[in-house]
Amino acid sequence: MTEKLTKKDTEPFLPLTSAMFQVLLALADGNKHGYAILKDVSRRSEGKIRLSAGTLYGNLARLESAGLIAESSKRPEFSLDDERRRYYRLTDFGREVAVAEARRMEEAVAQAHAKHLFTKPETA
Amino acid sequence: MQEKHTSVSQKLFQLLLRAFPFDFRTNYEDEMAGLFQEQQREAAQEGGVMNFLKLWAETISGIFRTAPREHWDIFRQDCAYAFRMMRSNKGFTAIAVLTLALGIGANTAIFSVVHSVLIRPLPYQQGQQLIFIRQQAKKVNIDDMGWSVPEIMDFRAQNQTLSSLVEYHVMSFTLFGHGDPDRVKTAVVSWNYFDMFGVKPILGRAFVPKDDEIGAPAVLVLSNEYWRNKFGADPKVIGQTFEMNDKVHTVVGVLPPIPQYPLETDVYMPTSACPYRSSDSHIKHREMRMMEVFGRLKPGATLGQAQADLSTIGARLQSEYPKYYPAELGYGVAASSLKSDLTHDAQPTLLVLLAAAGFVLLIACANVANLTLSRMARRERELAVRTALGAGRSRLLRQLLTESFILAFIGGLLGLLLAFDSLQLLTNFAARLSPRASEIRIDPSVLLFTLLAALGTSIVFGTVSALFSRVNLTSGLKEGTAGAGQHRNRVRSVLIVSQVAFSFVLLIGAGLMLRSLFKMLAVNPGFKSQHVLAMKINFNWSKYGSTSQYAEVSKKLLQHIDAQPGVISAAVSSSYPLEPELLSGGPNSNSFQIEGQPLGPGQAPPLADTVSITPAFFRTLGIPLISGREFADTDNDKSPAVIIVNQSMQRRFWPAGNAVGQHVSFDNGKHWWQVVGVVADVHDLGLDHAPALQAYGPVAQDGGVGTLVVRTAADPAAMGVQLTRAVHDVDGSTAVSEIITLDQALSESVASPRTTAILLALFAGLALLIATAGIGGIMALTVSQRVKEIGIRIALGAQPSRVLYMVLRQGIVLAVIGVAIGLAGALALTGLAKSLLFEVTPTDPLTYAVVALVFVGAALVAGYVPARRAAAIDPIEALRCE
Repeated sequence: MTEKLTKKDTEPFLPLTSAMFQVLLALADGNKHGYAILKDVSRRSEGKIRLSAGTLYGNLARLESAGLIAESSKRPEFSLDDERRRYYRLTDFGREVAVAEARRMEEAVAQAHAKHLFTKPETA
Repeated sequence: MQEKHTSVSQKLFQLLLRAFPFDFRTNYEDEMAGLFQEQQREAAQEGGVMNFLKLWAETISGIFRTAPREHWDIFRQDCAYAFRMMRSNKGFTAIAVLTLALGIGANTAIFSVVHSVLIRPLPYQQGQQLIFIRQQAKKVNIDDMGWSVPEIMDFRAQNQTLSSLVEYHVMSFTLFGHGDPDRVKTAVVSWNYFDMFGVKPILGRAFVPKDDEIGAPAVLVLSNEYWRNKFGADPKVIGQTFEMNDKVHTVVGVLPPIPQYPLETDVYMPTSACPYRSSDSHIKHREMRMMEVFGRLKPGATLGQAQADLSTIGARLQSEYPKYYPAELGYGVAASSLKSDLTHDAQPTLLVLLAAAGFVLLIACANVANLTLSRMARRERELAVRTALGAGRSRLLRQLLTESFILAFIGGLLGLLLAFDSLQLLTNFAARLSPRASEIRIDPSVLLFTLLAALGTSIVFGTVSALFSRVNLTSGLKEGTAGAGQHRNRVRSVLIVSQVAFSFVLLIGAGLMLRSLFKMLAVNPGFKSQHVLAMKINFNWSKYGSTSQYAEVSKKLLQHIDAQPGVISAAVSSSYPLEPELLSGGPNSNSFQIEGQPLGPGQAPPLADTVSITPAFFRTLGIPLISGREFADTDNDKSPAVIIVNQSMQRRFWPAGNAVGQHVSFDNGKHWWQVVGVVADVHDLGLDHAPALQAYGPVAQDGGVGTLVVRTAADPAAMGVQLTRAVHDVDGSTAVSEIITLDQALSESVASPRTTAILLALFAGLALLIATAGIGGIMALTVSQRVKEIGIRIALGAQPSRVLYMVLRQGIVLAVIGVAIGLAGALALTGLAKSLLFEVTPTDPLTYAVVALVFVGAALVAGYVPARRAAAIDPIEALRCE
């Protein structure tokens, strides 16, 4: 399968919901199971984003059916494995979408800078 | 302890997970449970009840935010899939949608009538407190003898349970001063009539106490409809004056557009303005009864309490004035809720129709289920493949139900259109049954009913397909599994049998109604309705005060009418047979006694319906004279009083047939009327009403003029304008209205049973068609499944006629089983329609036999094509097929 993706392919997914983006981010540096994703998101946001079981799996189901993530066949060693767990990986397409989303946010931030949004206006 | 706590939470969590769709659960349940367990462990490590509570709060809100989205997603997918399936099976879709539309449409239409007429509360303030009060004479079968002014006063003053008691009667007066003299239906009411109903005028004012005082300036309140039709909704109408009954009347108010109970009238006036009601004879005399009475229960009072209260007053009056309430009348007072009084005539008909419509919907369900089943046979592979690809069974069931719902929903929308279309027709129909018909509309409750009908329908026929798919999904991949096929055929047979059974009940109902209608139409009305035109004529009564003046103007009028081209004969009378007003208002009945036949002690005097006529009345209507003579111009107020009686009266009192020459008194023996003729019985109150005792008197002796009947040479309907002009030639102040032919009056009088019969026949025809198509369909299917077997039979020497019989037998067996079940159902149910039948018993053997034959015949016709195909199977071809 050719991995050449155009803007058109990723566009329908943008903007991603915050929860979806966080899940993709959590998988960016390696495969994880549900609980690990949840912990990763919570740690990176310093506890500000807390996904509940329902929200997490609702998003996983959506991302999986859209092909942004997939179940990973690689599992940890038998002694460390919990057979109830499933491991998820970021697909190439999922990575594209995450990158596109990050770019979109980057552009938005750049525009905010250009408009001096972050500097307090001087009061007369 | 901790562990126990955890396991309880875990169970609770798993219970919550049930909010998710089945497939989602199958996929993620274990993982989610594991994750929640970890979260709990973490919360326990951190310690504190707050952590636990927070976890639960987040978990619960997460589930209830996510689950609906999951369901919605699946629904959208299923819808998209269903629409694809429907597009690729256009024939199936069209038939299913149409069948459901007819079923749901019929139910929606009938329900809108039932809801508006029977269920919805009256559109008045606290309508449940309103009651209708009647004085009755039970021993002489008078259900409503009306009220006199002294009686109304007594009941108003003495009752303990009513917050108000108002009177009402309707008269027709002629209104001058606005174009042609206009005959207006006028309700004469107590000043607080509108207050009691809680109706406020939209213009001007309602009546006030001083309007009711004798001698007060006459005032009018217009009905909304009359104001719109005659005054173009002109608000300046308030304060305008008109002449009525030789008095100036001022319009003081206009009513809002409310249904007017118990009758639609044009204008309202207070009792003081009615020349009859305000006359001394009416105010003083206890026996001058012509009013109706309504009341409102005091808050907290029940109908039962009011009934007891009013009966006590009735008993008191009876002992106080024994002369006016003789024991032989069986006097009593009856209170009923206004709502039940306005609807009880309509109830049996509407409920029968609702049941019939319900049956049609059930049959439609069975039929669509059957269609779905045969389509499932073709979809087996598709469904099995989807199962193999991981779709859970419940997922497939859900999809099938969604497909069913979409079909039913589209059918429901179409049905709603049908219902909207038929609303006017049904309103006209219901208007003959209840004054509430004008309220019929499709409102949110009816829409909800339609939605529920569609939902219920889809569940019924969707579940049948689903039940079938449960058996079959796993075996679908295997080629030609006989077990599933047989099961499917059994289900189909059950469906066919139930369709036949329901259709049979419907057809019996329709058959009974039709037979009853035909019996009614076969009744000889006693007059010749062809070529007769009838109209109401209202002479300006203030111009013609006395009987002789009425006789004079009638004579003049008839001379002029007789001279009109195309007129064969004409007569003036107080009423004519089957006159709409006579049917709704009842006849003019008078008690009488026969000379030489004294009443026994305690025996109530007999009653006769009396009609005033001019000499040519019988000739004009074609009522045969049996013996004696007709009236002549010489029978006037100077000659002896005479009457003509009908055959029923002769049969009862002079069985020897010698009525002519006998004497009858209508005033307790003060005067005697001589019988000069006997005429044939006339069904003047309806073909289904046995002719009453009837007595005719000459207009020249009795007065009482209200209608003109004219026999014409050509089409009577075309002569209305010419004859109206002729009436106005004689007296321009005469109001002419309600011009109809006697044929129309006759047809109108049977309109209600006719419409009921037609609607039932329509429903039954539809049901028969669906059931027959169902039988044909299943037989065609069995034949195609049995090609090989039939081929072998033929190869082994079976005669084509034998094969034909074998296939036909299958259809007939289904029909016979259906008929047998339907027979039991019909015997149990048609008794409910007894009150709608005329001279036909609910178990009429002829109807049952004919309908059963129709079904067996229908099964034969339906089975003939597939049976012929089976008989023509070429054994070599059939064997090669395998």
